[in-house]
Amino acid sequence: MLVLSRKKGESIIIQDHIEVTVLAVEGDTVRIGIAAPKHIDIFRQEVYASIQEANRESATPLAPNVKAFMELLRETENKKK
Amino acid sequence: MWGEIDVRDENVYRFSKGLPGFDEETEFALIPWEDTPFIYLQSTKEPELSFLLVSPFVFTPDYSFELPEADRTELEISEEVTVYSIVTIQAEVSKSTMNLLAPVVLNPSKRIGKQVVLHQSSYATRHEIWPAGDTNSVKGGV
Repeated sequence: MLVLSRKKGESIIIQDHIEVTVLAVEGDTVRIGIAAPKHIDIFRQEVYASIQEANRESATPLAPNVKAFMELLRETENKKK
Repeated sequence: MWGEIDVRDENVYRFSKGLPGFDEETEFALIPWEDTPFIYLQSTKEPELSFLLVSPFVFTPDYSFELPEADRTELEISEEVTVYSIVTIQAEVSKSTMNLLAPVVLNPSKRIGKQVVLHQSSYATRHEIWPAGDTNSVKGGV
């Protein structure tokens, strides 16, 4: 990992188009501003990781689970009627 | 999981960035589960990869979010837009969830799709489809 020290107000350029600026430092919280082209997706790491994990859990549901799910769905629908 | 099936072109969508955790999967077919609000998202490249999707509004009628400008541009959305949530069938089926934080947004006229991650949102990746209590009497045999 490349490690750089920056002060408040200083920034880093990545590949011409992405600029990361340190806006403020308060205790152990650092506020960061990111300017990037629109097609670049930016996420908080833990949010992205939780979506990756949810997707992996959801991938290719097993047939018996789908069947149980379908039965429950039908039962709740009938109950509503 | 289907053996071999024919899918009409109009149901094949390009996901240029894949899905988080499945970056390589850039093309999916939509396969409706008839008579239900559910639909399968089946990779066209990887037969063993599919997701169960649901229209989130069926179970959470007040679900709403603003599609960020950048995503709208990327999806080339002018008018038509379709929203689905990915379903996670849990071991205890009645506790199954859907991902409201990262909806699958589709542009049906251009046939492009993206799993959009909502920022500044309090929606969860695991939102219970049937909130606690909804199915209790059913489990008792009615």
